[in-house]
Amino acid sequence: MKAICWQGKKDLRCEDVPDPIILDPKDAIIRVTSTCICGSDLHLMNGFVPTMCAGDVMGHEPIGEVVEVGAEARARGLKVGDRVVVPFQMICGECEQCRAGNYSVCQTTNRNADLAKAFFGDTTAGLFGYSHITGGYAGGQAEYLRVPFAATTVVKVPAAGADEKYLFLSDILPTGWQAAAFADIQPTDTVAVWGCGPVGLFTIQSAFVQGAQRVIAIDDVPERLQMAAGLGAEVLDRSQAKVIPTLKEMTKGHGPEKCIDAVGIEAHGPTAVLELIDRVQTALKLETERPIALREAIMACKSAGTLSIPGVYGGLSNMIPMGALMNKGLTIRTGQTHVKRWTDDLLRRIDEGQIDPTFVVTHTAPLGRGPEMYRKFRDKQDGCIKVVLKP
Amino acid sequence: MTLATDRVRARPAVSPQLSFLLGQNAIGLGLWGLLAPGAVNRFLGLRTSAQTTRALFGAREMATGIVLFSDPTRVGALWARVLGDAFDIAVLTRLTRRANPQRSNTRLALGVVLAVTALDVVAAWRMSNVKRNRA
Repeated sequence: MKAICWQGKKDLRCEDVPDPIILDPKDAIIRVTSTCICGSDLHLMNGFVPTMCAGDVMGHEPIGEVVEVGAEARARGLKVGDRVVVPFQMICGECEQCRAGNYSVCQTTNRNADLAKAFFGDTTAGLFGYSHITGGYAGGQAEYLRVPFAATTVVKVPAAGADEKYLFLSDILPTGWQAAAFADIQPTDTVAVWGCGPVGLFTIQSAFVQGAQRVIAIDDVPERLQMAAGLGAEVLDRSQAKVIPTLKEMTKGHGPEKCIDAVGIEAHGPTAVLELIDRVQTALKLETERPIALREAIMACKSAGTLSIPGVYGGLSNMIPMGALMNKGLTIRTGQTHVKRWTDDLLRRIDEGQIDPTFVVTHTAPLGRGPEMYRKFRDKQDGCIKVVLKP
Repeated sequence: MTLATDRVRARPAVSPQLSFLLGQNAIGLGLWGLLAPGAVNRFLGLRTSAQTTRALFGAREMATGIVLFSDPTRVGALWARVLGDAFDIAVLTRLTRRANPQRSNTRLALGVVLAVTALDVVAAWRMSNVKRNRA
C-alpha cells in the first residue's frame, strides 16, 4: 500500500510499504478514507522530535472503515463495516491512568515505555506515527492502518456525513477543547490564544463555547487572523504590534486572565535577533525548541492567571521566565490531549450543530501528493491552514 | 535498550542521512577555514592570503554546511558542493608538485577530497532523482 514516510529531516516521500496485518487479538485494520496533516507532523518532519527512524510512516488523524477485526476487539463490540475515527493515541482503558481519564498517559500501550521513562521520567501512551519514543507505531497517512487496542481506542461515528465533519475528533478538535477546558474559563475572562493554526482556531471556538467574555487571537498570517476574527476573536497581528504591551493595553494594564500557547516548539520572533539566538541554541543542541510563544504567554498573563499549553514541546527549553511564573502565581496546565475524555461530548455537539469543525479545511489532495502538501502547509502557501488527504 | 518498531515501514533511504552528514562535515571544515586560515595555508603549503582562504574555503564550506544541516534535501547545495570539490581538486593537484614542501599533506588532502567528492556526487545525484509524490 501507499504511505507517507519520513526518510530524514525535511524528507518525506510517498512510498510502498507492507500492508498491515492483525498481530494481536485486540487489533483491527482500518481502511483509511481521509487523513490529515497536523501541525505536530511538521515538528516530526523538521527533525525536532528525536527517535524518528528512516522509513517511519507518518500521520495520526485518520478516519475510516473497519475492514478486519481481531477476536478480542470483536468480542468488545467492534465489527467490520464500522465507521471510526482513530484518535492519535491508543488506550487500554484499564490501567490506572485510563481509569482516571488521563488517556494520553496510558500506562499500557507504549511498547517503548522504557525509552519514554528515560526521556520524560514516566511513560506516555502509544501514539500513531509519532516517533519511537511513543511506541514506534506506523501512522495513518496510509491506505490502511493497524489499530492496536482497537475496541478501546477508536471512536465510532455515524455512517452518514462527510469525513470532514468527524475527522478532527482524532486530534485537533479535542485538543482545542481541552486547551480551553484546562484554562478553566470564567464568564468574565479574557483569553489570549497564541497561534491561529487549526488547533488555535479550535481553541478560540472552544473558548467562546465554554463562556469566555473576550478572546484575543495572536498570529501574523493574515488569512489565519481573518478566520479567527470570523469566530468572534479580536485579533493581534504580531507583525504590526508588539505582543506584550499591546495585550496589556487591551486588558487595562494587567494582561489576559487566561493565556493559551497553541504554537509550541517552532515559534518565530519576537525579533529576528532573538529568534536567531534560539535557532543557534537549537543547532548547537543547547535547547531543543524555540519556546517564544510560551515566554510571551508567561510574561503577558495577569497575576494569578492560568496558562494552558496545547502546543507541543519535546525536550528542553531555555530562558523560560520562571521568576514571572512564580511571582505572579500562575497556574500551568498542559499535556497531550486525553482525546477520549472529550469525544462523546464533542460528537454530540457536532451532531447537534453547535460545533461545525469543517471550516478549517482549506486544501484536499490525494494521499500521493502528501509530501507536496506538507511543504505547502509548512510554508503557509496558498492560504493553507488544514490539509485533508484522501488515500 | 531494544526499540520496538513497526513492520509497516518503508526501506530506509540513505541519501538524507548522507546529505546531513556531509553538511556537518562541511561545517567542521568551514570553521577550520574561517577561524584558522593560516593553519590551512601552512598545512597545504598554500601561498594565498588568509582572506582568500577564508573566503574560498572556509566561507564556502560553512555556507553549504549550514544549508544542508538545516535542510538535507537541498539539491542545489549538494551540486554546489560538487563544484566546490572540483575547485579543491584542481588546487590540490597543483599543490602536489615537488616544489611544495607540504606535498605529502596535499596528497592526503587530495585523497580525502576525492572520497568526499564521490559521496557528494552520490548524494546530489540520488537526491535530485527522488520522487516524493506519487500518482
